[in-house]
Amino acid sequence: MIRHSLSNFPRNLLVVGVTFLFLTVLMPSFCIAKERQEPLPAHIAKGLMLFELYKGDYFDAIIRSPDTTTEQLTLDLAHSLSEFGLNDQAGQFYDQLQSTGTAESKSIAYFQLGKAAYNRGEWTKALDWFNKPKSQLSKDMLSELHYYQANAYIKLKQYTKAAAILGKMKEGAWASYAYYNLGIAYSEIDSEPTRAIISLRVADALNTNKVASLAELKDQTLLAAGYLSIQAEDYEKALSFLNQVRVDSDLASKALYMHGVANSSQERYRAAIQSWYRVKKYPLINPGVADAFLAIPFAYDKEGYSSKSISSYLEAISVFDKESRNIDIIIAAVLKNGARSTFFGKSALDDIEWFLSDSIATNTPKVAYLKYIMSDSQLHQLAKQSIELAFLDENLSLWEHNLSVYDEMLKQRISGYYQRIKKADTSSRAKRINNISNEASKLKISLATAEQTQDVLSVAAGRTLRRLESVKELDKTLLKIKKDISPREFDDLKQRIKRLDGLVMWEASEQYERNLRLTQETLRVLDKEVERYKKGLEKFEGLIAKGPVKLESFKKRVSNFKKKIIAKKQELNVVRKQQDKALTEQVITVLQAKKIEFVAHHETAQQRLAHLYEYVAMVQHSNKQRAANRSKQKKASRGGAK
Amino acid sequence: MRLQHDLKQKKYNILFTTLKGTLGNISTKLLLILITTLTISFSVGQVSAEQSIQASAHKLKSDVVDLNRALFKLEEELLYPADTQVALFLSLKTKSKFLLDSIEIKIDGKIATTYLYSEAEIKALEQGGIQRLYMGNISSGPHKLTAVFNGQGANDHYFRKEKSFNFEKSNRSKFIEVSLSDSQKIEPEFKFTEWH
Repeated sequence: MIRHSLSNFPRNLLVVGVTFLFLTVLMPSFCIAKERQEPLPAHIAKGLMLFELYKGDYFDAIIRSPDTTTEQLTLDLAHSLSEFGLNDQAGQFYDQLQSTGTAESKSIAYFQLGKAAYNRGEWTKALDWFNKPKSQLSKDMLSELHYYQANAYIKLKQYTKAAAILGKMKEGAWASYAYYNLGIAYSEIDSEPTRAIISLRVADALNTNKVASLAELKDQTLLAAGYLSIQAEDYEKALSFLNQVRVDSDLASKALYMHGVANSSQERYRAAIQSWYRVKKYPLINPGVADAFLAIPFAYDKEGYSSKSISSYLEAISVFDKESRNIDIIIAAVLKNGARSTFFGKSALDDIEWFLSDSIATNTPKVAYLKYIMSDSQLHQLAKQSIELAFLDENLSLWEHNLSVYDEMLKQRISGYYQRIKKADTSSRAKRINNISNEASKLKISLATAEQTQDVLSVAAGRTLRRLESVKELDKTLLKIKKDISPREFDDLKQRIKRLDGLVMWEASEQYERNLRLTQETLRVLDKEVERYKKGLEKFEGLIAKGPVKLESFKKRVSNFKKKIIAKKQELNVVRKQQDKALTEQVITVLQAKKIEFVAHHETAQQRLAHLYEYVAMVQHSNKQRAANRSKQKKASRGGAK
Repeated sequence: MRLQHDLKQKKYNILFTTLKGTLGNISTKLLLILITTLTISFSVGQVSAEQSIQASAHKLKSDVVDLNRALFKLEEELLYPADTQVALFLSLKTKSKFLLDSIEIKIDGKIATTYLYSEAEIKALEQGGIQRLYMGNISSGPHKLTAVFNGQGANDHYFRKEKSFNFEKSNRSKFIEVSLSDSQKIEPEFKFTEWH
């Protein structure tokens, strides 16, 4: 019994080992992981924010801004906030910097606070910030500061001070914009446009024309200079300005119309008609196009081509009539679907049969209308706001989708967790460990008995026991062959077997002490291991009893965020509806104003045509009378001669 | 400006003429006061509505920013736990001596990400920005990171350079910075720095 139990010892140990492996492999996946997110190294966290900031992705720059802040990071964050339109938050940071920052940070803060005041229309307050002492501002920022400073003075009608600041500016976009504004301001107050034209010429000279926005400014400057020159009756100068406006500019139609005006003012009607014919190729909504339609018949009339003039008036009447109806369609579409979806999505406007099938404009009349609408500053702001709200909606929708995916994933993980717990079947594992423990106890008792009885074979090594078994086999074989061999041979072999048995027993008794110690040691280790496994299993059971804590915590967080996102989306939808309503109302106001303009043009064309018909009729009548008089005179003179 | 002013003038003239015809007996002064009052009240209403939208939009923006910050943290914790998290970053320390065109990143021979740079992104990197090239999960133990850089070096020399880096992933987050800097040679220098 003892021998059997002890000979099974390694197999028992294997079972315990396998159980241990199971526990050690399985347990970590159920355990509450103690790992925590490592914070990014400070320079990487800062670099990630700067990457977004310098790309112009201000929203991402704010999101990526590190928790730990330095003065420079505060400036960068404030800049991102301000660019994203969170001016109040940005203002708080600048306020803090202007009192506690270094000289450089203070300078930037003064400038930014001034800019914020300027954008609120508080010109004097803005100037207070702008005029504070500044040092170490970058070249670009200094130019921008001068631009705002000069503009604030222009708004306060202090033109001399504005001009003095502009004198400090060097070539570039800011200088060009500033001189343009000064030129326009002069044109509004001066009866004589020389000062305004000079400013515009300087604006043009300082324009480096390197980017698209500067090219547009150049066109605008040249058009304004041309307009003012016409007012000053300096037509050649006007033509020299207008000739420089790019043909693919948004202002090309207006420039061509003004070009015609400059020519017609010098009674060069043919040249004027040529310019105005080119204007006709642009969408009617573009500046100057409607005026050109009215100007062409006027010029034909002046040239004495009455029939051409009549047909041109008829064409103008038809065009204005059609465009008024188009505006009605647009207004109806805007009223039905809202301005946002009408102009930014697919709408009824796409199906309007526009009169300009041969338009040289690279864009569609829908875009022409969009551009016209966007030229209204209030609408521009509303449209910008609409795009920002659409961006927020897109962002929230994306998170809503992602959170739904995470929610589902966590749900599956939690359910998977319980399934794995079921499969783990800890009670059967505990039973097996208890069996092993019982076996170990029995072995201990057997060992104690063996020790008392000095049973050397109980603790003998496997090799010794195998040898003893072989000796017994030999003895059995000898008994079987006893009758086949001589008694002498039998006795001899029996003696030899006895000696072998004695040898094996001697070996067992020799190793008894050592083997006893080894077995006792092994049983102690087994006891310890069994105890450890029992504790491990208890801990494991304790953990699974708590459930998937981390997964549950994640799920809870995800669900909470999902609720917040849904609530925020609803809030956003309300604001978007209000915003779309405001945008729609403003668009309709602008379109109705344009319609009134077209109706007025239509009436003007009709009146002029009526006058022209009347004039032509009168001329024809007088011609007829003159012819009749002449024939009468001829007849009378013939009669007299006879 | 002027055109708009003319337009407004025309509008008021038409409106005024129509009203004058209809309400012939009402004195012009009274009519003007009525129009002015109506216009002001309409404008005030419109302005306050716009201000309310502006305030709501501002609050929403601020809330969305806060939500995004919290959500990015949650997403990172959920999808990239520290014991498997690996993130690669790219920094550029150069003075326009070379132009990075694209980059390919492989982890243990498998493509993790490829990126084609725009001019704005290169400028942002040159100004001190750092790009997060990749974030993913790997097992603990030894790994091999391979980065292939394509670009234009000094003297319009086109380069395609492959660099490898062996690293050991522990149970902590692994951050690796790949930095490109100017060198005396035609091609830039590439350096890998491990964090954690």
